[in-house]
Amino acid sequence: MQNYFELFSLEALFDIDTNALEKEYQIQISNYHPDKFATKTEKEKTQALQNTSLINSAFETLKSPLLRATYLLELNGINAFDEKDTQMNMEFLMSQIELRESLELIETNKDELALDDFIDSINLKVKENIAQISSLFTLNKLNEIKNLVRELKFYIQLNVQANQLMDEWL
Amino acid sequence: MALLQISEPGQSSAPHQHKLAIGIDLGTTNSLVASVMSGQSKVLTDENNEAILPSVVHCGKDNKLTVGCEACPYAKTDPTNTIVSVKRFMGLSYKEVKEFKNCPYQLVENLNNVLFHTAMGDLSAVEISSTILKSLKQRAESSLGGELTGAVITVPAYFNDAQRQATKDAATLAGLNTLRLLNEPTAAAVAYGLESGEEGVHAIYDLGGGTFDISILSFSKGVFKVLATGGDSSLGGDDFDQLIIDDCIEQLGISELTPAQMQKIKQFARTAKEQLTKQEFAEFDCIEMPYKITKEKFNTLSSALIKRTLLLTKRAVRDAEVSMDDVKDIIMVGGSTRMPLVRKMVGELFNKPVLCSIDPDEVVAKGAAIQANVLVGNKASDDMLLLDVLPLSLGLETMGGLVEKVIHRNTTIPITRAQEFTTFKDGQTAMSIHVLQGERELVDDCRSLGRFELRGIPPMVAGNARIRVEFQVDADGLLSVSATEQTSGVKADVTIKPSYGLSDAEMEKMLKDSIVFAQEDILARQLHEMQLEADRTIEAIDSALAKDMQMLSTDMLEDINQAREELVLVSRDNDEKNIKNKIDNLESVSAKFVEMRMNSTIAQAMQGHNVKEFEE
Repeated sequence: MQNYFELFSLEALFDIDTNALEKEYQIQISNYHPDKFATKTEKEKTQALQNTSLINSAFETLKSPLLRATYLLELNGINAFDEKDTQMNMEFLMSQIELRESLELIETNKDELALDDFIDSINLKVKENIAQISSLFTLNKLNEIKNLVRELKFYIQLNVQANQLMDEWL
Repeated sequence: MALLQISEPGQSSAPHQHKLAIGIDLGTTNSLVASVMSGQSKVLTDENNEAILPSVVHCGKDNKLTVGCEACPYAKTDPTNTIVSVKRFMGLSYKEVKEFKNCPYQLVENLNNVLFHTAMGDLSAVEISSTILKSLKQRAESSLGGELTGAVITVPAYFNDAQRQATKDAATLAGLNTLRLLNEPTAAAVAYGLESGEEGVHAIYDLGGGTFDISILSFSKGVFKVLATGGDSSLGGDDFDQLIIDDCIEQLGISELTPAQMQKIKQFARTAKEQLTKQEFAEFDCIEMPYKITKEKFNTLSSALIKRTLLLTKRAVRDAEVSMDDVKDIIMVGGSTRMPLVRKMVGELFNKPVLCSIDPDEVVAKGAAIQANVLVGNKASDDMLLLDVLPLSLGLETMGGLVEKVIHRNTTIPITRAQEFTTFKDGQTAMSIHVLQGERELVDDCRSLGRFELRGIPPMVAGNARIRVEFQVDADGLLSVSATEQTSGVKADVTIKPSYGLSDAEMEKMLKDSIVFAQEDILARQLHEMQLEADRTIEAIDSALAKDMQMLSTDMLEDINQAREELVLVSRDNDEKNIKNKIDNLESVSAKFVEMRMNSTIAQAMQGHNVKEFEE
């Protein structure tokens, strides 16, 4: 089966050369974008639309560490977000509850500086998590990666919430 | 899903020929048309040498339709029949339009849209807009001296699906072939980017008559990529006029105004606003009472509106994942950026001077014309590519009135994404699907794009059905949705066009009773379109044969040649249906050939990788 990595002539690894990805994406999208078929047949336009959608999905998946890790697990037959398997590390869940509580407190106090710090600290966690995922991939410890990927999703969602709050205050 | 099915993008076997293509800025207050001539993008003028066509349409008695400058005086004398700023009504429902303040029109509710009750009958915003487009089309045809291949029409980046679809419908109604709907800021960047050759991250701050758009985009090696967009589709110059109107009404203690008086004050307020860009105060007589406003007072009133644009700007910069310092240029677009306070406050936000060297009224049309010129193939195909993003998230209603997002805003388009759902009752055979657009979590806070029902689900235990809902957004930012039940081999498939706009049948009816067209026109145009499609199909097969004829067996080649000949024979006939049949025939006869070529070309595109079927 051909996969997203092959589409951009990359090896199926977590640590990818993002410059090479960008460059290859630019070439592919320039070749297949519907704009290149503006005066062609309806059929060619439809195919261009499908091809470009695929290239865009592939690019988006490989660009994001969370999606890339999830996709790599999938290629190895592991669904990181299986609805029937929701078990999480208790300690991690507790820490999430604490983080959410502190975000609520920041919201009640409308403390902009604290929110800024909060976002920074989550960004740091995200970075640490990605570094761990990267090193575990070199050891091929897929089950541990699965747990980290799930944790990463928690952090990213928290970040989205914090940023939304920032928006409302802006 | 088969991967990458086409080869030789942009190549053509036909000899090079200059095609006529235009860019249209269909603005709230003013509209313009431009075209690339001898390598230069130029705004086209009318017989009075005017570039700007005011977006004003008068629908008078005895079916007397007036568009542009000539229609302007009617705004005072006959306000109910003179539609000004029709763009603000595009794609909106009756409920949404009802919230507009000081609207002199008699609005009629009609299923999912609004009609203006005029002396020429009840007309939709799409029809009114199409008269503006038609006028620009005529101007272009007479000044370029020929038939147009197509047009790029600009829309605010923040326009939702309903507003985009309405714009495209208006173009169809005006007899224009829409090559692409292009976001206004992207068009502006094209105009600036190509002229200055400036690579890097740019912010386009576009404050027009009725809309505000902010776009952050990068330009590198001929590819413009929108990184993020934001804005407000109901904030613009009109709102600044309204500040003066409100102040005037309050100061003079006016309780009631007739539509004619209202229209008059609107014009006075606009003039006053323009005067305040150059002088310290402005004054006018409002129903025989003198009114005066100072620049200072106006600036105080305006700053809240401008601040709102700055918040949206900050958010867009953050969404683009760049810092304020990364932004190299701030391009100012739209007449409202002539206000000195706007330039000052935006400059202060980025801490650098703003760019306004190209006339802010013309920059969008000029950029659109450059893109149109590329799309029709007048320039080498690898010259420029514009990648736009989805301006607002798309989602589905789930339990409890919540919206589950399927495609997030700022995703590069075109894009396809699917989500799986299941049944929640035993034996459930139908499912209602509600498509929404917006950022909020509650259904009530998002824009409803349409509802449809998926029927014929085989009865199963709750939770066992697998319903795959697929969203597809094309390069114009337009959505189509389909749903499929996937288990037990039974497939139920439905594709909807969201329900705000016009169904194909409505569209056809409108074309037929159009105030713009005589019926023969439409039929002739449909036939002409089919003839062109025949030409394109023949061209495609010729180019494929020229390259890969050796792949075919003698029998296959004979079949294809025969089908091709049959199409060539009828391609200039007047029988639209027959041409269509012959196109379909050629396509089906050559399907195998196309597939064979596809496999060989993917191999090339994949740089020698072994190509198999690709499963998502």
